Amino acid sequence: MFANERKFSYTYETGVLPPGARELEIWNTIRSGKADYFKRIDQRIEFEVGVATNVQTAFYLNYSQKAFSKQSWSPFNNDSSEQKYSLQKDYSMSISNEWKLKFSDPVADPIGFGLYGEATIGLDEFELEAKLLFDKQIGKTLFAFNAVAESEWETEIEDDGEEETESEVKMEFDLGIAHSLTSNFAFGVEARQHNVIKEGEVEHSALFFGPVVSYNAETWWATFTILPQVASFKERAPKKLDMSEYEKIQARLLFSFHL
Amino acid sequence: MKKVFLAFLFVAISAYISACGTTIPIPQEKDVVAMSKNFPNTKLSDLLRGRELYVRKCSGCHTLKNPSDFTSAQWEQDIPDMKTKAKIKDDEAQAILLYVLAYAKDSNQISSR
Repeated sequence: MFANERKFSYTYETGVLPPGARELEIWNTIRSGKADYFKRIDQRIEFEVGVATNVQTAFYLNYSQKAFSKQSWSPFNNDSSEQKYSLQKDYSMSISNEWKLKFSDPVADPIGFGLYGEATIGLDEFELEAKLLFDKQIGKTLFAFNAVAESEWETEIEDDGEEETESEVKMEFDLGIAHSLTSNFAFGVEARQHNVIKEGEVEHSALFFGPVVSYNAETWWATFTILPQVASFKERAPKKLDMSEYEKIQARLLFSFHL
Repeated sequence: MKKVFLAFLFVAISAYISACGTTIPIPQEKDVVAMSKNFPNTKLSDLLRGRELYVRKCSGCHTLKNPSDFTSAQWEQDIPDMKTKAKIKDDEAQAILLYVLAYAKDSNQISSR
């Protein structure tokens, strides 16, 4: 084995590439289903390189496209029964830079620990993301946990043409458990608890939970996770999902190979 | 109450996981004695250096394997295969090999060979 294999698609592990080693990762995330029609595909191409012992950096090219139902509004029509819907499309592109530091190992030490930082810049957005990474290998089972904080600034144009920057804070907790069935193939589950905080208040909060499979070969690896939304903690009606902020289901495929 | 229970459960699971400690052996004097039958000038510091290099160099490419998962013949074949790609120097590869051989699946046979 040589590629810096991952067992999860959403949850990060503490592993970093050795100095000078390089990897190319291709990300595909599909999100589907909101209150109205919604589909989104996020694609990232990541070039990862080991900088020094226990330090790696990565550069991303991010591309996102979405199609969604939008209600038309006309100042000349006040009749709500005449409301029309249309399919809108939106595209965006951005670049990111990540740094990852590993402090302890999930096999050799009592617990694996690492720090992760990422900055993203696009035409109308700027994001900073920090993660605390924990993992532990017990026998053939890997446990991983991430605590994530993200700040996002997005430029919007108001109806009067004024430019306004909106900021948002996101908190996320990811948990992954994977069991290696063979030396190449692992199966497990991932959970993702995501929160959107605006003006100091939690505005949206939801839990995603689903299966993950991973396969690693000598020079490449792949992971695939399906994450349906299973609970919302801000909706008043019990068992109701948050379909305004989050999708009903999302899935991510990562494919990576050593350069 | 539910939140307190979940928090307690999380802390308990975390404590259990971290209490499992290391899962690859830490060299001791008795291992040096066993290895020196076949590798005469082996010192404890050699095995400790081998472990340190094994953790630092090999974990970048894959999850560390327990040395006892493979036989000495498998390690003797795998380490040279991986050393070039992982940019491991010859003397470092030797130290890593010495460490994994000390705890290989057939390490009893190695030490008495």
